[in-house]
Amino acid sequence: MFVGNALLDIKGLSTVFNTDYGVFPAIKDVNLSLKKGETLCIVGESGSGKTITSMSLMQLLPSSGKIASGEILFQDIDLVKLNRVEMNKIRGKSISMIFQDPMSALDPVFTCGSQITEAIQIHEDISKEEAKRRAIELLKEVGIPHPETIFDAYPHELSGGMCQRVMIAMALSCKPDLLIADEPTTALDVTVQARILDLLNKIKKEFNMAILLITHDLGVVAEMADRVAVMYAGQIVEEADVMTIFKKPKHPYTKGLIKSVPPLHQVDKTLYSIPGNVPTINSMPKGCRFNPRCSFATDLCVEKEPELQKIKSNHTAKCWHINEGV
Amino acid sequence: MKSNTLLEVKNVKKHFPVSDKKLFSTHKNYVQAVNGVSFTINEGETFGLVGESGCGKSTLARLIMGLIKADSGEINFEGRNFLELRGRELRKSRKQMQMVFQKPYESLNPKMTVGQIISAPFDIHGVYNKQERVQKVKDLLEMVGLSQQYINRYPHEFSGGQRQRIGIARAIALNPKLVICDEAVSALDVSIQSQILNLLNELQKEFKLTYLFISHDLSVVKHVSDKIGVMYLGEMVEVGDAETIYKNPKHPYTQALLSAIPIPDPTFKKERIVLEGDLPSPINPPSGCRLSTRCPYVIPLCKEMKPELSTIGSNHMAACHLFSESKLQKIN
Repeated sequence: MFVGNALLDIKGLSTVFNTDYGVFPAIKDVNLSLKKGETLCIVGESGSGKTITSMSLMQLLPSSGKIASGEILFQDIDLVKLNRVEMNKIRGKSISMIFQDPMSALDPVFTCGSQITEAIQIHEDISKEEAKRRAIELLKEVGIPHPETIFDAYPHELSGGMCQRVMIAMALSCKPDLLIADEPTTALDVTVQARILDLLNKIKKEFNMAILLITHDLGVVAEMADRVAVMYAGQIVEEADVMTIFKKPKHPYTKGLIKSVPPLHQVDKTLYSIPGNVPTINSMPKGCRFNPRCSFATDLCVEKEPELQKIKSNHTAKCWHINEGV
Repeated sequence: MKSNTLLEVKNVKKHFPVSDKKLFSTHKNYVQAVNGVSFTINEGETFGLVGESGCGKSTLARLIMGLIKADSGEINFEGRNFLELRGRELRKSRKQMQMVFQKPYESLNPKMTVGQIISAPFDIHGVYNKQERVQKVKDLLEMVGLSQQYINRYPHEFSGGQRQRIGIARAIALNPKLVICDEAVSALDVSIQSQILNLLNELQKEFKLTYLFISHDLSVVKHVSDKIGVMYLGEMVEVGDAETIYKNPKHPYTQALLSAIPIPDPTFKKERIVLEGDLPSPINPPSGCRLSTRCPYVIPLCKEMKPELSTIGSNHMAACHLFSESKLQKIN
């Protein structure tokens, strides 16, 4: 039974990592929700916890990582409570994932076709011939020319863009409700990236899927997202629809991030830049995690961590000073 | 040659041999990495070189640095052909050009301290005595925005952005005239990237540096460059002022490349020019114009004859048949 129409509802998710120096939280109190047919972009710099969020969601965390608290409600089932066998049934069927580096995400010793049919046959009881027919159809769907030839090709014989298409075909093989795309175009050239993004938009409409897109590229965000969640140092600092994020951002970090991108239509040579670096997992600052880099930081910011505050419906930001128009 | 030209690259070629798949075969194929590229960089300006992976940008940078030898062509640096210099003369010229590399994690020797890394150019060229070197390294650290106390630390103690600053300090240690930045900011996050771009800009003003800035990120290149060259499959397809290239791109490849950049503004809607198919293999590139297999405006002549880079406006050159025969009107 669905409550409202949320497909995915992450509540207070925290993931910790066991290291030689102690236990550190990689993400803390992450709340996210995603409707059917919606694209949510998680944007942030490296080390901000974007990938850990998606890995927690898929329960693909490395052995040192563990979900410490929180719920991940997917179609009203709490994924955190599932055991391995139950999770395997959801992974790849209802939720599938495409990864950053298409060349290394595919197994080099199997043909592209056999990897797709494997995915289909794990989840559905159909014959090999039927699976092959489906795989070729999928390859055609993602815009691969001569799908019959590519079916028998090994990943090293294909270019990066083609490999990513094969990955997408594989992710679509069981008609998932949610597609997680972790930096799907970062390793690709711009012209190839443009075509992959177009393809993702096309299949999203066709399959009425929800997409959770993880990226650091604000250009990609502007092009793809319905809603945007900005992550910094393991926390979501601002969440809103795409227009609000770009036109009326409230959090100083979001503002800085948007201003740091070299604009295409501007001649000013000096770029805005956020001073300092992203804090590491074992040296999180006290209070607001952005305070050492924030030009508006006050004593309050150093002492106490702000809550995620509601600015208006569908727009929240984690900052003490949102009402002062920083 | 104009007096203020610093670097002139003339018809430079580099073909790498690749062996045939058959054992004992004497037949050799060649990857045509750089195939007759020409351009000039004036003193104090930034020349941006863009293109997709595999188009020969980095090979070109290494040819200019003399890290690999060109098959043919001329590389004139301060009016002397760099390719003909030998020994002491070559070393002297080399001092004038330095490079900042792509990967800040791999381009610094992990066994050396920051001080040793930055003073390595002094050792190689035998300049300054011991005390002077230490002082110089400290000055350089300050210049690139790092604390002097870092002099005895090792690279692993620094973040990516800080390492790139160390790489930059090393590159400017000998007061070079030309600095080649090969994807110098590609590995960095947006907020760090803008810090480094600002640093490069400040250093350019202070030391009157000339940059050859190589990147696949077109918005970064637009931001830093005065002139831009666009490469495709080992050839230069369009060269011009940065403004001209972005506002009025003429070559179909440049147009497609620019239209593919995602703009960080959700209200911005644009029409996208899509190039069909994948990049052809540089071992067996298409005959005639190399873009002819993917170009949306292809005409029969394109497959037969290779277009030359020819002037189509003030400070604007493109290699395309459509302009040589004023067939442009037909498209527009």
